[in-house]
Amino acid sequence: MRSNKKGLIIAALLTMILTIIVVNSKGFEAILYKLVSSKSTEGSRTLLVVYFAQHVWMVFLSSLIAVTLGIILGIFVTTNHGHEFKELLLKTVSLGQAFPSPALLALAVPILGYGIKGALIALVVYALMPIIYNVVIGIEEVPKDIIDAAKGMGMTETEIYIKVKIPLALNVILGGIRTALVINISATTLAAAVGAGGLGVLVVNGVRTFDMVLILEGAIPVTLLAIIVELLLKELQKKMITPQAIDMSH
Amino acid sequence: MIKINNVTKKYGEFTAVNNLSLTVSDAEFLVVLGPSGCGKSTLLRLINKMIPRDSGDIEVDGENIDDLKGEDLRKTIGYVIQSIGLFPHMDVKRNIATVPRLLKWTEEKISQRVDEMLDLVGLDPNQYKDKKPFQLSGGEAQRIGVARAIASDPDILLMDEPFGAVDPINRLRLQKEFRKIQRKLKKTVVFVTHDIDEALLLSDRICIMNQGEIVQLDTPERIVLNPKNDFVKNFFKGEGILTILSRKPAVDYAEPRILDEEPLDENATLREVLTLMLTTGIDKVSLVNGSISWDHILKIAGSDQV
Repeated sequence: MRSNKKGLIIAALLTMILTIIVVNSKGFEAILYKLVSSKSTEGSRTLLVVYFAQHVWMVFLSSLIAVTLGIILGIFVTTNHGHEFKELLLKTVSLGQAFPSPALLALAVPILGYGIKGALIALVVYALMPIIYNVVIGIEEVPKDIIDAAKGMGMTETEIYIKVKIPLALNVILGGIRTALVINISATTLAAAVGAGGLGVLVVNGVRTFDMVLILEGAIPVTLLAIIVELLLKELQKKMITPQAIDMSH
Repeated sequence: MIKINNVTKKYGEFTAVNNLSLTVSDAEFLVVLGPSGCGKSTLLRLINKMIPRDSGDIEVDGENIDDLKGEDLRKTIGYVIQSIGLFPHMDVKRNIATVPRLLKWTEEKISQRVDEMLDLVGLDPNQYKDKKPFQLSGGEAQRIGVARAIASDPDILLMDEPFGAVDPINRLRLQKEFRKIQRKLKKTVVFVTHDIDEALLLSDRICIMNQGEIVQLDTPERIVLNPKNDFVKNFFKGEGILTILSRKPAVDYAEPRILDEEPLDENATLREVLTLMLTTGIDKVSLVNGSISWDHILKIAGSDQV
């Protein structure tokens, strides 16, 4: 119970810090200039909050698409109709994951042009693997006898999914979504390379000019955001049924 | 009533059920008994269309099961399996309410029914209905499994070794309680087991299966006393007679002779009478309506009177 609360408290604390940084970016820059030496003196020309909003928006859109697509595809390949596509899908998404993300972004540019579209495609491809894998594993790990009982009581295949398989797989599915989101938050930094904006702009500019302040100004909010999302989703997962509860029931 | 006509089920080259015919009457408790792999579970799963058959016909309550959708058929037949398969994410009341919910009963009717079912299986509704399956003991979970199977009041119950995973003491109690419930509610039960004592204790008739075929189908008494062949004889190893005696209330076999002794409890069975004789060395035992002698038990045990 105690450690339960601890996660939430840390998440709340970090959210406060992140809010202060984003809202009062000039003050944040001033602190950074005191801590690290830098050639520049003015920090970012565009306000941090603009990049932050772009970043969150891209994470939100790409995650929404990836979660929706991942759950639909993942569930589909566990059904009798989609079973034959399972291996193909899993191989394809792990290939997408293995492909270097900067290269994936670069390839998206000639097809979709500069801007958010190309970035979104690359981010979705990147986030799909953990989601699809966990949907498939979560559903396939639901004990056979429980499904047998559900079928034996007259549930249709759809009812078995809605009432039994998905609720019991939810914990594992959420784990996949959590991984995908954390990957996505940091991978969105690369979107700056194709002109889609986001906190990556600061990091990219900072790297180009060897400006530590700019790099940190972009990297710190990204890290904080990733940790907060990770903590919150972990708490949500704890509320779901644990695998032990499944094991102890038979 | 269940009518099975020349039904065959094959898994590749292996014939699990071979051209089998069988009729189960209304309110009958039929136990299908046999070694593992004899096709008894397959037979059960053919009745509620959990698996398709290769040939033959099955009728449930006068209707050919091919005319019904699998899910619709299964909603009208209770089904209990050894591992119970309670839904771990639902509390006891939602588990019991599964079929009533599928049948779209009103919430009020469902809640009333859940309490009734818990009472029926001997669990206090207020204490149990909000528990999660992982908080239940094996015996409690199996009671909930039975309650869930009969919640929508199906006429027929299919049970696949339902008490197999329960410890011996609780198993005997569950068996006796369930037999009482079955008599009270007049359910037609097809009960699969490999436990001979369980079969003898519960059944109206026993169907002994081997290699996908029926070897003998008769009352437990007749099977024990007149085994059809060596397979049946070896299967029972002669021990069945004691269990048969434990089905029989001693008062039903009393001789008019009154003994000047404290009579045995009126629920005592012939087996208890025999045990008393063997442990104390007496050859006559007093009953509430007379008495019974060693010679008389020997006579009953060896005859069709049992």
